[in-house]
Amino acid sequence: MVTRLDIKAFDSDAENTWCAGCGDFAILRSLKLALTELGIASHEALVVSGIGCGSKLPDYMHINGYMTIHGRPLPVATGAKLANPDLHVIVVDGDGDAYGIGGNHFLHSCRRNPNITHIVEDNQIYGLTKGQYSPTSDRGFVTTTSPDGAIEQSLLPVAVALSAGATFIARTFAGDPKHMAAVIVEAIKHQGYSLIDVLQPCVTFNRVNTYDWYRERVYKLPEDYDPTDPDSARARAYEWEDRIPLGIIYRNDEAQTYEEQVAPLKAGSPLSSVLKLQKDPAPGQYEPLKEQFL
Amino acid sequence: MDYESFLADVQERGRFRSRDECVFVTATVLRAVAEVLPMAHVESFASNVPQELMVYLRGAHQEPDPYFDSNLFLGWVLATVDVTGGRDKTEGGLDLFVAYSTDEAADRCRCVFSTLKSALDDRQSELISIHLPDSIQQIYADS
Repeated sequence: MVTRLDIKAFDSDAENTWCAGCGDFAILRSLKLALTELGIASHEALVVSGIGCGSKLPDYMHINGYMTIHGRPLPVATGAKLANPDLHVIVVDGDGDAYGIGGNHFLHSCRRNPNITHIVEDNQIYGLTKGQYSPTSDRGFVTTTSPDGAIEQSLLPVAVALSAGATFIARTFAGDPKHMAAVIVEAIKHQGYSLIDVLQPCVTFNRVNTYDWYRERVYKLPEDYDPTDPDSARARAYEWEDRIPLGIIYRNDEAQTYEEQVAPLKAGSPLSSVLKLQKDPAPGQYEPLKEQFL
Repeated sequence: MDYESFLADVQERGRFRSRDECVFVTATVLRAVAEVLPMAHVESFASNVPQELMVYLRGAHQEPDPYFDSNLFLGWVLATVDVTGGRDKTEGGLDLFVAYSTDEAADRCRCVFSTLKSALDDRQSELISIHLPDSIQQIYADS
């Protein structure tokens, strides 16, 4: 019997410790909506996170979850995808984790093109450690670690991803959860690395980039915008400050994924061959596996 | 009710220190209301809401996001609680601002809602109420 997936299937019992009003709530809900829309059940997906407020997200979902060390969710997710390409692998982390501590992995995931979805909760600050400026903080941004204003030029993740070869690049806003869910659906459907940079206020420690700050600046890409045109994408990728585009900025659906190019995987995924054991359960059949891996 | 009377009423209810803070709170709550109020209904408030405040309501969308919930609403209002440069002075990461921020945001909503309700007629008030997210609807009813 086929039953329709209910969004409540992703609810977890964990106590949520995010601040009231945090944009992470909208991201959590949009991810659940997207998975429900796609009919992807909890056991068919893995959410990998790093360290940060937003990286608590796997705990707040009834789904396979893996919290890694700071900045490392992308390599862990790539490993999981290689071990089991049948799994929908989703990375959720913040701007510090993704673009700062994990910046190296971000660059190489863009050019490697593993079939994973990367949702970056970009609130332009380190929230969990109570308010230090991050790679995406705007120049001049005052925090406890930049009392005279951030000196560095802020990173433009969309532009970096484009130049590093990412095959799906989108930006959305936590204040528009419906739009965000639709973008996440497209990102998961995309075969290859997909970056979704989510503009998300930190209501406690970032008092500059608030909901109304974003609302005054964001705009949705027009319907006739062609995300497959690299030149158009390049122009939009550098838009920031006064006008910030939302939507799928670039996509290349022709590129091969990393997994498709790994020769040993052509014979099938490593985990699939292991999982065949489950079709014929027998006492003790897992013992050799335990000995092999533990 | 004119603009200055509206602000004075909000300031009295919320005991805000300055008029500027009161303007900020009022604007932010009304902009949050605009996020959930369909554009088609906005002009029906023009008769009782000061023109200076109608500006915020006119920021409404043709079709509000159906998933805009209480958390998003409070997120708009929290921007008015000034903790720039604030530090956590507690041990073990227990941040008292975070602990009380929901109550503070709800109180600020309540102040603006109370004044707004006193300015609106019953039909207009009902129209606002039905478009608010669930727990905000409760705050509005209690105001």
